[in-house]
Amino acid sequence: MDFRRCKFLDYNSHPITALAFSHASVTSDKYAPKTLRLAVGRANGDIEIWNPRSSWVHEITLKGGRNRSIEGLAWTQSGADLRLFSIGGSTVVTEWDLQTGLPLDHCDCNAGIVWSIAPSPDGTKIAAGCDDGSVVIVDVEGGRGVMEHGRILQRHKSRVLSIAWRGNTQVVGGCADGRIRVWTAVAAGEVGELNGATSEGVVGRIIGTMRVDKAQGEETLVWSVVVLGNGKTIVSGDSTGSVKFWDAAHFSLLQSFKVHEADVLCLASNEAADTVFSAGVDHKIVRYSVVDNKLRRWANMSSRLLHAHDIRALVSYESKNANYLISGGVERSIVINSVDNFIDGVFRKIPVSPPRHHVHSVGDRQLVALCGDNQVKIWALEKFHSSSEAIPEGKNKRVVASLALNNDENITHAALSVDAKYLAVATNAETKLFLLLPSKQGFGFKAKKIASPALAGQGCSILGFDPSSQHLVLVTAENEIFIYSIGHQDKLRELPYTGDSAEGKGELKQALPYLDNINNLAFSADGKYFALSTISGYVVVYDWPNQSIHWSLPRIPSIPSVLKFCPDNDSLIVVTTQMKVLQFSVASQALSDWSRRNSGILPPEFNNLVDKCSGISIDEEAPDRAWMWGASWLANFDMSADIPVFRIPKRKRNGLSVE
Amino acid sequence: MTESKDLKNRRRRRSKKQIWKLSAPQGGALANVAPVFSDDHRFLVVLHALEIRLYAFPARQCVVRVPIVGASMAVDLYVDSSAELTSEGFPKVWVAMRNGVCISVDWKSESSKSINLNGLGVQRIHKILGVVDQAQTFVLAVSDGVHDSDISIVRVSADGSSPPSTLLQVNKASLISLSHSKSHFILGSSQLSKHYKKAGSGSVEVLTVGKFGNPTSFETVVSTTIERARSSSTIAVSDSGVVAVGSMTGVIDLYYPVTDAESTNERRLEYRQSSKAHVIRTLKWHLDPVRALSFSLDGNYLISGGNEKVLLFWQLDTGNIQFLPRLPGPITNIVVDNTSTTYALSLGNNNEDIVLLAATDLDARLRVSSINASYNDIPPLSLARANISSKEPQSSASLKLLNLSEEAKRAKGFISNILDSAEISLPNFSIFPSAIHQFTPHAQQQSLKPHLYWYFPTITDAQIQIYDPLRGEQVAVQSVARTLQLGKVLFEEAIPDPTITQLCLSADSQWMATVDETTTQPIDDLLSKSDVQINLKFWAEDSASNEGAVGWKLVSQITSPHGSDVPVAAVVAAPQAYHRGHAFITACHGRGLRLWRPRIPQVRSRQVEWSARHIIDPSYEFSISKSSLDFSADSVRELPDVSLAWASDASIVLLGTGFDIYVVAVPTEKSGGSFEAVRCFSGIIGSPVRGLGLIGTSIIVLSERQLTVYDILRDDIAWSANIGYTPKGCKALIAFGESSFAVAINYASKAKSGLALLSNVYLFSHKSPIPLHVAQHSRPIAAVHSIPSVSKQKFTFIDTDKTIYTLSGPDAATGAEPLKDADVGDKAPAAEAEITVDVVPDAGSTAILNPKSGKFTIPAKESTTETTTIPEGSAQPDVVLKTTIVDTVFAGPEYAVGDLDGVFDKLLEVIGQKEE
Repeated sequence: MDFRRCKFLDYNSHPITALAFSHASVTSDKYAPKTLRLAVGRANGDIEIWNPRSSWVHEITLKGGRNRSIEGLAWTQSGADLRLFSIGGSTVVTEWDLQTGLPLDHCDCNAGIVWSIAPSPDGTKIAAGCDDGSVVIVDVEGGRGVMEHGRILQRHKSRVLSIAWRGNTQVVGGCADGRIRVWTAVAAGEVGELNGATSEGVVGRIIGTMRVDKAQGEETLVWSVVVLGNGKTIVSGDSTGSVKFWDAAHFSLLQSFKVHEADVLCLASNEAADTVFSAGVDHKIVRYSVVDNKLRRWANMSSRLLHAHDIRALVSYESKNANYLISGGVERSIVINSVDNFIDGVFRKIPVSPPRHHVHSVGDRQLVALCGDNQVKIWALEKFHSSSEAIPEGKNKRVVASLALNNDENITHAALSVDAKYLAVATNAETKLFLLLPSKQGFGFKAKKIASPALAGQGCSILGFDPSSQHLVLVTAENEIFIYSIGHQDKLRELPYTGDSAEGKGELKQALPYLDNINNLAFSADGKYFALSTISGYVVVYDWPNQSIHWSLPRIPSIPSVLKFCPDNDSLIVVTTQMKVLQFSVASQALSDWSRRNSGILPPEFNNLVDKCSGISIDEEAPDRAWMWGASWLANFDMSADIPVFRIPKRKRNGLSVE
Repeated sequence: MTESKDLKNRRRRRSKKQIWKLSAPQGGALANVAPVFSDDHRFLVVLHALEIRLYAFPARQCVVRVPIVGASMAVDLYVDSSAELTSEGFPKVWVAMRNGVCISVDWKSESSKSINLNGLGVQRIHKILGVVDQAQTFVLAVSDGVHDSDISIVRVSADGSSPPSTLLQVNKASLISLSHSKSHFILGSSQLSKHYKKAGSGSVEVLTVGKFGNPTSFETVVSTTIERARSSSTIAVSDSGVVAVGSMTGVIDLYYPVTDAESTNERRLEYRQSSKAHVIRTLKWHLDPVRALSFSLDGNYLISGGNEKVLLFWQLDTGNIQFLPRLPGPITNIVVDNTSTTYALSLGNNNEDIVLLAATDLDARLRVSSINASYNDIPPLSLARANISSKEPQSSASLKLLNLSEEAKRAKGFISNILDSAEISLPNFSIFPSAIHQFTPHAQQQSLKPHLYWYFPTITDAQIQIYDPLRGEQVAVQSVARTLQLGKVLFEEAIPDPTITQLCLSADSQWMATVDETTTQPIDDLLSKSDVQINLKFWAEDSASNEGAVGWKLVSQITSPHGSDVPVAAVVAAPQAYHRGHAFITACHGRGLRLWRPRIPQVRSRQVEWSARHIIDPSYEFSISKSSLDFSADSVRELPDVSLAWASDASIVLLGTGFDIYVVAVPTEKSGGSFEAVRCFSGIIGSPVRGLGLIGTSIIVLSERQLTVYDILRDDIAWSANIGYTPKGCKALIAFGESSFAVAINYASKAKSGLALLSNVYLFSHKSPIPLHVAQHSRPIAAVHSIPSVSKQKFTFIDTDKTIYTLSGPDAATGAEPLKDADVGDKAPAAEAEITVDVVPDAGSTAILNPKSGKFTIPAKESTTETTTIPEGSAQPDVVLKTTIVDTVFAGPEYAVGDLDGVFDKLLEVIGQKEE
């Protein structure tokens, strides 16, 4: 078995532009809700949803499109439903359908580009700061998919770059003219008073203006504002690099810190409202804490340099069992720190590695394909002649095909057939099938699109060719499974799939409906079986030739990250995000002997890995050996042998030797 | 018995009259104790090695000094705010000694009174936290003698009326600090972490912040603890309980106590106090360990300092920083006075300076300096010497008894003692490269008594410190070469300062010659990076423009005086007889000599230029025997010492290098020519030369292993003595007076706790190997100098404790030295001249030649002090011996191999024959 380390794949992750936790911090005597999620917005318009449990698991990506950067994210809760909103360089606020990964609805604010977005603490309203200086209150009380244009607050001349709620009645906006304005957004009678914050004046009017320093004659941009939990203090960060603490009752400056050397782009505070973090263009995260509660004196406590580039977003979450300070920016990786132990706690950078669905390879043909955004590239590798022979750098690979789609939507998935004859590429709007023809120049491929109206009308999220390369499996955003047979009628046949019917709609799935989504497909090498898994841990094996359900596996308690059929004995290996390796014997419909003995005693070196498994490969020469890898590790399991358990050697009876 | 009584009387009389006196110690380092301000902010109390001094601010000088014995034992100074001030407003000051003694200083009577708390369960004091009830009760940080770091805060009644009460105990504490108003104190200790206890590894720092329940009576203590993972180097606590901790990595952590909360935050506060009672803040600027921390009085500022020599002011509200860079040394202590208008900084690794800064303009108001001299490292002894003696070393008083007559035994005992000390290998210690003292009479104010100053090249910054040992204060600092002022940038530390390698003053103190060497800065990575720039500089005395204070102005600077990359190995000033002493001779390692004279020596104007008048090039052909240049193996890697001496009649210059001594005729105006080597003595000294000089017609050479006196006229060795080991570079261990010379020999001796470095100062006349006087000293000596005094012979020496002593001889009038001797010195008498070898019985110190028996007698010494005895029956008239009589003694092989027993046998034989 040969290993190749491909460093040439020009995979471009995208800068993190927005971060949002689905829930507000809770006091330290309460546990975090199970539905706690982190939404990560990227510059290419993708929104990733991460689950902080089992050391941060990436669950789904809501695909964006060309020129659709995510500039702001907001979660609200309507009953048990979690709702995710985003803005991005347009005039609309978008609500996302968490089940399909598609936009659910758009709400046009009619006030220019939306620059900032903030949900009210009670989750009933969203304030959007717009380019023309107006703040639009969007009423989202009506449940999923309902966005009502509420009210436009008093306009002024410059755009509202940042926005925050003070209680449920007032909105604080940081503006591009160096001013921080406070509006009464909601009439006092409309909601109950919170934290003693009273709404004054006529609803919709500016009730206070605070002005930050000017820098070199230019108007300062107030990039970020936060209102501290008790509503008494407003904190602002601006383009001069200063962080200012304001008295929210009298709109007067309390303290000003000039710690940053460049623009402060984001702020975060802790649950107790006595600590504030700021970050920005100078890569540093700075912590401020109250040092004198009586006088409300703040001090710049410490700073930490964890990023190598601009920090664009900063968000915190605290509860009894969770304590996160998340930051992200141009550097692309998500950095997880601790609010409590900010100074010298351990931090984690989630590595920037391509999601598994982005890379495909055809071992026989030595082809590697990478899809991302709007293009697919296929490389051909030189064959190994002998392991000792070094192939000169640069000559060992060449691009054999490069396709750029003219769609606006980002590619959700692409698949290469086993014989490398077909390439299928899908977006949420359509699916395209290409025939790869060897080009006349000798090497390289020419991709010829196979016209198929059936496919063109069907977008999908996951694709897969069966081993015979004759059938293409499509999994749509709505969890329907279609089969397209190449060369037959241009028709999609639906595979019977009922979903995870065993479990009723739990609260978790009510809040996060995508948990029933299919996230993995796998074919056995002989084409006998076809397996799929859902995020919720439901795995089903089909008898592929008959296209009927062969076996619904017992429910797996965590997300299956990879499915893989072993080549010889029809057994299925499932690796979960909790770093469990399960092997099922498909024929006997049970856990395999190896798995029964060993799945519970995997070595701690493996169990403690934080980067999830992103692939399994089985050595054809030694079919008992399964190679697994993640972003930062490679592991090898010998499925024919038991994992050695440490035993103390017993002394033999004669006392002279050990058994 | 009457005879012996008479003898004793006489002895007493004589010793009283003629003894060489050792002066009281002068100078000394500053004690390693932070200075304290008086409460009214008028005085600063500084503890010196020998005395405690009160400096007044308006006057900017010392107003009272009180001698303190054992200041090196001091651990803390404490100003008792509750005690009444004296009529002059002097504060009540306590000095805590490590051994459990508290000393109260009485400024008025310039005395001190000590209270020994040792019997009251106080073994070791670490700090005084408070003094209450008119010094009836002390609150102290103490430990028992066994576990020095287990510190207890105790309340002790001085009269023992009530048993000591322990208020708090902290184990393994290494740091302790007190807040300004003495309301809070903090102890830093290293303890096993609770979390790691099971694993058996990992220790944490536990800071114990204590607060006195009643700040006037100190009866109860409320304490909280802070646990931290980083190791701390220094701690401070403010009056409001904020703790600052400086760590070894340069980070300063501030711990704010969580104070009264807003009502809405009560719940959070409960949680806070249960798990963490402090909010941590980090301040980052230092890269080296933080060595000193202090809060300003109101707690708004934190002041920190460390090895960067930069004082930092942190405004805690905003986090803004203010710097005071380029202080003269690493900051080891910061004391803020109780009006927050003055800061006292202790600078230097050994507390060399205390600088008083005004908070308003950060200008130095007062600077108290100790001797700031650099000590050289001595190359280690060769292994061959190191393994020699394991036998019990003897104190010099003990005698080695062999089968000899009583007198001979004594004589032998004396010499053998010297030998013994040489046998013990000297550990490495440090010594000055050059130290020079000089009279500096004020030209305009002749009435003033001339001052005696020491000149010390400083460790860094290429400066010469001018130090007045009498006042114990630095008089001035003369910068000799331009240095790069180190700021913060790290690589600047790689740029070496120029080093002052030679320093010499002319006989009348009008001129000073210095040599400084600068190695090329390595940071540029130039081809010339191994080049050395050598500058010879001549300075004119400039007290006129300096308001009567000592000052020097640069007159001439000669770059590469002996050619490029050739270091100047020795400088000597001319005697008065040669152009009124306005000349210097420099020597380089290749035996090159250059004579430097001012062009217009009469008029000291700006136009004065010094130039080389006469030159001996290294290529000049001396008659060198090849073998004499064959140095011992371990000295090959380094160039040999070069030593120069100029005869007082200016006729000849002696140049010693390696094993050779050259006699060089000085060119005169008439002869006009160049230097001419008239003689070369090869091998007379038996080991590489260290220092040499001329007294009369005798060349006296201190070499590595022996002291040799060579009579030029007789052209033979007058005498020599094997007096121990003199490490390389120790030119300054020999000094020449008019008719006597002093040699300091450092040696190691076994003490209770391992080896102790001791030293002897031998005073010799050039006529006899029997010392005129032996002064013993308990510390290694770094340099000896002779004071050109009219009335008395005086030698002064400085030890490695930076303490200066003066040995003054008998008055010239009463004459240890016979007149005839002076004739010998000046007028070059005939070779047969009979020399009175009265080995100064009146000098009283050591040895006497019994004229009747012709035998040396060495008085037995009772103790290790300088008390002297005279032998029995010595009340004989002086006797005359011919110098040639003992020639044969030194002629034989015994002398050559250093077999002193044999030499002595021979000597006795010779003298005995004569008697017959």
